[in-house]
Amino acid sequence: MVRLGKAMASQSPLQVTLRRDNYNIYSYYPASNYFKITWRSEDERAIGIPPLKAIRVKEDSKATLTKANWDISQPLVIDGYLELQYIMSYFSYNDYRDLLTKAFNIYGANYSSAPSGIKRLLQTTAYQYIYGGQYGIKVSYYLPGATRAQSTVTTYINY
Amino acid sequence: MFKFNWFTIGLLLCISIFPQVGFSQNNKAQVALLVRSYQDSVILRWAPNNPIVWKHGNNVGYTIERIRVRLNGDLDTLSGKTPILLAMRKAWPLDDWEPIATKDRLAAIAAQSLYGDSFVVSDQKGETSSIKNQIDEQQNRFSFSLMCADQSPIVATAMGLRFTDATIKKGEEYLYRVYVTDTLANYPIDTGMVFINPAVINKLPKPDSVKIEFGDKTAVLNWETFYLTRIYNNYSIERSDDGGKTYFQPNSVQYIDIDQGKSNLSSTSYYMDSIPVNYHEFYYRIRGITPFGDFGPYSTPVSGQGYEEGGLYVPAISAEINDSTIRVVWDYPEQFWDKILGFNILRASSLKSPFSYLTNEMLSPKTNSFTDNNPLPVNYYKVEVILLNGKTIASFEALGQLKDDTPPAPPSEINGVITEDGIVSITWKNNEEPDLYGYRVYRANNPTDEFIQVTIDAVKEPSFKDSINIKVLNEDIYYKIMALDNHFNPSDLSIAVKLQRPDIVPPSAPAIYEVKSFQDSIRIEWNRSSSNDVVSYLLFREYNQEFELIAELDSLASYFVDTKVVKGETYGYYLQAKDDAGLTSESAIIIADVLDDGTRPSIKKLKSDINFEEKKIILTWQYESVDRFLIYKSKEDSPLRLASSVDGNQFHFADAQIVSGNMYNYAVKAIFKNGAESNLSKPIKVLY
Repeated sequence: MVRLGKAMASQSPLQVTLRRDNYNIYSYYPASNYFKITWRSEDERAIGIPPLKAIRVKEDSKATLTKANWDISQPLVIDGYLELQYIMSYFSYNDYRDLLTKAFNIYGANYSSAPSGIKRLLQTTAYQYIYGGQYGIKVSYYLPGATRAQSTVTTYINY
Repeated sequence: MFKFNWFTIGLLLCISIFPQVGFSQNNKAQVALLVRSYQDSVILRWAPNNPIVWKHGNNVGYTIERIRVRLNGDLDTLSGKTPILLAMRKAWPLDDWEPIATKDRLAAIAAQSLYGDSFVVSDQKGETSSIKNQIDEQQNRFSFSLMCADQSPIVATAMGLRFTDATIKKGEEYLYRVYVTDTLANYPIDTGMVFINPAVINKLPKPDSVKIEFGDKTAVLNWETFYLTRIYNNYSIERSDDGGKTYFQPNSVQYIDIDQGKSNLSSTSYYMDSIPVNYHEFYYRIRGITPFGDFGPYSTPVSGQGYEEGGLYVPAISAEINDSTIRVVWDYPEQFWDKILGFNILRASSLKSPFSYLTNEMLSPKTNSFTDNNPLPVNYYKVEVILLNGKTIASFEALGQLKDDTPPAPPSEINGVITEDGIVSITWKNNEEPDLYGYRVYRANNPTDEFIQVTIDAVKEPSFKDSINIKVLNEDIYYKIMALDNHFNPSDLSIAVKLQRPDIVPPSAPAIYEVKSFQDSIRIEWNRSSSNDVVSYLLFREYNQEFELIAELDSLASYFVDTKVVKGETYGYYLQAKDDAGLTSESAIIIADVLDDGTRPSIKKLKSDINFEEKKIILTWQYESVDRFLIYKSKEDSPLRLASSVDGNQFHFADAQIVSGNMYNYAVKAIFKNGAESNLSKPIKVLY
């Protein structure tokens, strides 16, 4: 049984770090007005920097909530599944590529003049995915417009 | 020049006007750049992101630069160099397009968009549609030319939007820049740039989560494109009619991702194909095509069969009631009998309950009824049609109920609470009758009153919320519940449950109506509070501006005699009524004086002693402090006369006016400061 609707994840304790010296691209963000993440689409900007709200919702049903659901504040109950994908790595990888390209564009030919944060970014040779482990998450279901969660599930992501 | 009709480029009309996959979504004018490593070379693809940049780029061309930023993994700090100019590219002149445009439809479209006098898209009838007319021609040229460049490497090259860098060296990493060769006045155009390590060659992914749904000679494919949006902008869809042995493209036009570049976290692409026959297994597979013209790996094939529309006939169903059985009847047109495998019958006790199969074996297509010999009190039936491909179609539900004049049991275990804002929450034990329809709730202020229904419609759950006025004198409110079955047979009303309103109204105040003063007491009488929830009265007395609780009396008390008073003193009294919720109300304060006739109790403990050495008779007594004490004395049988006085704090007297051998009589009187005086004490005799 799946309750469809808006899904929101609470802030996760995930930290994005890069190999070599635990460089965190977001701790220096933005290093200047130029060093801003620009590759994301408009929708994708809402997931935040760092992209802690990078959640995708997949469902196998085309059922939609009706006014009656709202009137009685009862969610739609149908058979099926709802899949939540936490895709922070996808965004942090592309954020890394975006910022690294900008850093090379400005300081690639003159590395020594780069600010320390940019210098450390230039020194990274590869993107490091988040550390493996068990990450706690809390997923709450809200009817559209509601301020009180209809249900909440606390679980773990094994990454 | 070229002219296109709707049939030729119908799909192209669906494309996004910014079809460049993976390029930045920034709205600023820019040249967007992608690069891809091929081990010994790097291919660059770029695209202007609006018609203005496109037109300017066509006129002045593009400049391609490269900077070596790393050498063998280390930052290239030695170079301190300027970028290397790799090439300048510009769209081919018109004459150079001729050889490819005659062979390649995409090249012809691109050439038309670049050099055509007009760029009109018309439908099959040669009429320009109103929608297409609304599209700006310049926008069309821009969109269609880039679409063609995305699908054809040679067209991209001919348009000056593609370059192969074959001069890369092992161990070197580069930053590439592409920009329009000359600036445009008052119109800044951002440079496209990408960093790449040519040693890293990313494998192209295969489309994931490919699903297919079949209809009547149709197949609808859908697949997830979120992760692919920045890799592929086209998809090749292939079908196999021979069980997956050989595949071909069912449509000569490749599928174009109309939403590519517009990722919204839930991107899914759809493709509908027409299939030649139903009930034949068709296989499909998909692979992506990059803007570099590279094909990704195939998806895992999916397959299925179409089925005829006739198989979709939903049977009309009804339930006929007999004495103890129910006959389910349906219709299914004879022309469809050979299109289905048969029927199954399902039953549930309610619409919310799961349906279970009544038929152990499938009924033949010619069957049109089924008798349920052991029906439940309430039955919901469905007829399931099994199509030739194994898929099923279910009818709507039909309700079948046996005759029923047995009402449900009255609800029990009723509980409830009332909040201070008057919201009543009542719950009760759910009735267990399978044909239970719901409950009605009734309310009364007194158990002997007629109970009035407060539910508008029967409630389905064993709970109810009511709203009542709690600022009323009735302490309690009563509820009864009635159960109904699906035949609307009503149960008897339940036993009434008494709920107590939250007491937020204090009791009415008592009224002291009479105070009687005596010499030694004050009697206070009152009218009791009219509230029937008063549990006690508290009487307070004021003296010297301090109030003191002097009595807590039961709810029936109507008077009190205060004996702990002093003659002549003034006291205040008020009475407090307290109800069972602890709420109180108070009477007005009344003032009372204790009567005073000026007499006080006589001195009781007058004693005597003789001091022969000092020749004195010593009198002692006990009394409260007063203004003074008067000493009365007489000798032998003569009457008492005032002999002396002592201070009111002195409780003894020494009489030296005595002669040996005489009998003396003594008595003492207390004189108070307010003039009152005690009676003379009982005389004592002293022989000296």
